[in-house]
Amino acid sequence: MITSRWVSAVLGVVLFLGACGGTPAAPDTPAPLAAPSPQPAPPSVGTLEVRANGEDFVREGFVTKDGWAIQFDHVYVTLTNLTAHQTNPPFDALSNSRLEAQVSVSLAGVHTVDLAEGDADAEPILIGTTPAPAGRYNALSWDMIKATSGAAQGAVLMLVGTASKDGTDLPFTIRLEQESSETCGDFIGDERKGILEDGGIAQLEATFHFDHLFGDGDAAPDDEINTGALGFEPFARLARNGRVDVDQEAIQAGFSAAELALLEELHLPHVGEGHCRTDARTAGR
Amino acid sequence: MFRWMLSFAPLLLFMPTLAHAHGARIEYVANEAVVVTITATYDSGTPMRDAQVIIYTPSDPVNAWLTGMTDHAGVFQFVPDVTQAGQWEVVVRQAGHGGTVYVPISADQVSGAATVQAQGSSNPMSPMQTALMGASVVWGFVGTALYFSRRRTA
Repeated sequence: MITSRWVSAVLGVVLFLGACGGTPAAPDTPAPLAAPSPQPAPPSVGTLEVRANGEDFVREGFVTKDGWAIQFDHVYVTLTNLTAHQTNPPFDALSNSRLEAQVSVSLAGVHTVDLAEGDADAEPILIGTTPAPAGRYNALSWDMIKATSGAAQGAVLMLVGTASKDGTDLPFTIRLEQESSETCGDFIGDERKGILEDGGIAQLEATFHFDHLFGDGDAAPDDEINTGALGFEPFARLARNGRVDVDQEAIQAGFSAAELALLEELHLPHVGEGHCRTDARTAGR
Repeated sequence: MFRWMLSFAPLLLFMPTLAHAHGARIEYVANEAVVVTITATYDSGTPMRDAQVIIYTPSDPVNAWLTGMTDHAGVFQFVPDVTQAGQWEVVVRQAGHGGTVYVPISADQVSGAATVQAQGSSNPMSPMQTALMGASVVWGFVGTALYFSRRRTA
């Protein structure tokens, strides 16, 4: 009896396994409905907003390290190849390491934005938006190029405003024409940026520190921000007929060697308070 | 511009041992901790004094795990939770300028057995997978038992 039970059990198991094994159905047997094949989950996607910010220095004006009160009418900057990256390891702009991106999302086109647009409380300027896979965008890169049209044509960065000191108002137009490629790490600021969730919106920001160019009259003269800044005086010295109107050529001709060296060393582009690595722009990036 | 210097200083922190002399079994617990020392300076070498320090764990880059200030030498020390292995982010900010250093924390950095074991599991299955596998085995025994008991009563 035990033997027959074991034979029956083994036979049953074999038959069961055979059925589970997907034995082909007889031709006249209606084919069973195929189990729906598992569909891959749709990729998590959100929206990246890329903004440009000249900070309060541009929106509200400020006093330079050499006592000039600056008010900006326009601050045009022309950007292209704006690309947000998910990097691991995190990119360190102060090192020589390569940016190793697992995901990169680019914003198409050339964008000339006026950082002085809007009032003192204005939001950073929206450059554009793009759909992007969810994740943490902890690096941002872009190229700074000469505008090919519009008010800033021929300039990478064009500053228009008025500088005032000791009762003298000096309108200025400054055109900087050095093109560059900027590669930046994670945004640093009062809030975290670049963390994009499925269906969400995350911001990234190209930030420009004009206190690095002119210094900050609110800071001590020996503060790092002032010892490395040019101030406005070298530009004021180039005034003709009560106004400053200079381009790169006039700056090269009118600045001292030390001032030119300082200008060469300046790094205006940041990501919030985070740093960028500046390289001479190469074609094709 | 800032320059960042980062150093790791392993430091043993032993909890005081309780000792009872009247035949009691005496045990002690030693906690070993990794102390991370952050030093923030400007390019000129000037320390970033009284700078804001914000620390994020690898699993939560949004909410600060710890905040504090550098001292007069630009130094800040903290003891990371070594059970949270990965890249810890340390952000230092001062007067509109800042930088980030990434501190890799792994279980290897501590020799406490409990911590290493917790981090060093080689089980490739998730807890849910483990539970399902266990339930399947149990159900196999139950099913076999039911089969034979039914045959006996038949």
